[in-house]
Amino acid sequence: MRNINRLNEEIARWAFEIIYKTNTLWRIAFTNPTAGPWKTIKSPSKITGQEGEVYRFILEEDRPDIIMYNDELETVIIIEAKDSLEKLLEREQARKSAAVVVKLANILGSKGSNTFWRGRENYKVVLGLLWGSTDYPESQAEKNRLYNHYHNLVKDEDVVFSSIIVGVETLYSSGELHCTAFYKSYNESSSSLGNQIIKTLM
Amino acid sequence: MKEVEIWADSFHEGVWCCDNICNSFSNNGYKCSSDFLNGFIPHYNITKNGVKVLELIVYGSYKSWNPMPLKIKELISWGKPDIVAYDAIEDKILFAVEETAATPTGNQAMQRCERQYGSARHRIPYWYFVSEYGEHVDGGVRRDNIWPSIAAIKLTLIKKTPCLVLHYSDIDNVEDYNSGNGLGLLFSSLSRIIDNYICGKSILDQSEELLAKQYKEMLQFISSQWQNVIDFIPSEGLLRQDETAKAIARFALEKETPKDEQLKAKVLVWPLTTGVPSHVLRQQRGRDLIKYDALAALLERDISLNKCYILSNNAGSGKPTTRGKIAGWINEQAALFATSAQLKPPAVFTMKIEDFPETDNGNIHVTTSKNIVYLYDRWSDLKEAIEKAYPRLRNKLNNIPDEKPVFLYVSNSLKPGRLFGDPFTGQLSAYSTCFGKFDTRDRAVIAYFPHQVYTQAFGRNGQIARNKGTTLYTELTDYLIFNAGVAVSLKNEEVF
Repeated sequence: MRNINRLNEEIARWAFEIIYKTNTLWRIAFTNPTAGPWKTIKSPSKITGQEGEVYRFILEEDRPDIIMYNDELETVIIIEAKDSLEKLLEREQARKSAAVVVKLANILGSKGSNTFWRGRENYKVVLGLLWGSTDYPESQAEKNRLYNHYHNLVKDEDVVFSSIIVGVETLYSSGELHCTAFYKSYNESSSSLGNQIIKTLM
Repeated sequence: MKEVEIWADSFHEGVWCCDNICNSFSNNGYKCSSDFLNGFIPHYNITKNGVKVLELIVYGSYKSWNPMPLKIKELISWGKPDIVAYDAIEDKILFAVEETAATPTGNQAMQRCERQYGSARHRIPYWYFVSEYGEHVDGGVRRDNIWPSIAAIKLTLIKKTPCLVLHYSDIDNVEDYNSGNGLGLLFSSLSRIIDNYICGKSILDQSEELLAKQYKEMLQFISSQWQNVIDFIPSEGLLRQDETAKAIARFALEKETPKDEQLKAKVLVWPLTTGVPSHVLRQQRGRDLIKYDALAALLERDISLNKCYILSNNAGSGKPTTRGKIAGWINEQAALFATSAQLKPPAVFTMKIEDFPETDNGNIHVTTSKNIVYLYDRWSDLKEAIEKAYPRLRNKLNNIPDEKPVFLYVSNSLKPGRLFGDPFTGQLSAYSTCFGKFDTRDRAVIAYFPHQVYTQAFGRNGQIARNKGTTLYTELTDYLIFNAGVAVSLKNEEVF
């Protein structure tokens, strides 16, 4: 078997995604790998269970890396992924990523008449960040810096539930990959939801 | 126990391939189960009659893995297919696949053709899985381009290796992977290869009928679509015959007969002007340029003089670009030109924004002639035009016999770096193959870049810049003609 030469975004994102092949509390509605027929947001109808298209990204349209939802918590997480935390902090990148979350939150909120999304249009939309680390996890201070930066970018956007920012770290160490989820709450009353998200994610 | 590595651009594509092979296998008595090695590497166990016969392991994101097999490294230097199946024990690539969800409009389908060429060159069975119908941004439905299919047939005949284009979707289910025959044919073929591999047979054993079926679909597609793209197609009658598809399949398996060889000399061979139907040739006339260019004007003149012909009288123009972008790109080209070594006779960079016409809404045209393909009967005629437009090249371009037919490709692109990237490398690979680079009566290939400077190919240090584009152009072109009339032979590492 071959070894990872370099932990990149594709591997960091994939290691997280495959958790939801067995964890059915959360479902992935959209993923953005390097290529392939994955340019549509899909979900199963809450009424019939039949899966179908919710939204189709057009060519060149900015898209997030993962959109996932939990029907029990009535929550959607829209995730931006990069191979390192530092890259998520790059100013222009962060601005673009936050704008994508806001745009998608608006789109999903307007899909009440879509056969497959109906009933989810009022879910809370939380901003998520996923990064890769090699050998050592990021410090709490660095993670806080990241969360605060993105919180500032979305805190005035009503369509985003900005009281919580979710973080996912894919750590590559001793040949193994391990994902851990975190959150930061900006409002005491949101801590309970934050805890439930983390508990159900992993 | 055998093991096949599935290398892929992304894990999703590798898993998509394995899942579909397993689906196909379920009809052949195989059973598949899957798990993740190290918790994330997709891994499939395939059993038959309770005995484990094969493992498939997916390595997503090519460059993330160590060591990358040299055979894969070499293949992807010609363009990276989405999926490559590799037998590590025999150090052999079993097949390569390019699949795309991109709408097949504009150059989308063409821009992946360098991968097709790279695989055929290495004699690797290759499938290009592309949507036949796609929804354009304007909301209309478009049908795929014919050139990837034509290039694949020609590469099959030339390299004697399967090279195929399969379509998915239909007019009512635009961009649906599961509509049409493509997906079924693709995975019937790939699972046949894997089945043969498991059984220790030649990987293409018992494939003739399956390949003939696919070539028949390709020929039918070309037959039904060419009139929407070009004014005429050579050997039109042959495209409609079942025997043609069977003969191409025999070439793919190196089982061609002497009669098949005769067919190869006729099928999809673009003729000299004397072989073009007279009513088509009569209608072809040189047209005014959008943006003036001395050589492009002479190329258009030569159409009227029947020295060359074009593909269609209805070629469209490129999309105009904003003034700011054009100005920036001209400055970048000027800076690149300034790194040039001293040439004899000197070449002078004079490109300026005033040379480019403005549209009604203030954007700028970069299109010179609308045609980007010219098929000349004789190199001497094209050389005369080049020397008239660029006198500094007089008596310099002597590597091609005067009587040799030529295919000239034009790219009006101005953005620096674009000429060695998408879609131009794919387009040139497909067109060179289609228009005779490897035909029995072969054509020389010239690429003309009126708005690009030569230092992007050939630096001041006298070294060729090595990338996918220059690798392909070195193999496929005889000369590249750049802005200011600088010519480059990548093959001979010469600048004129």
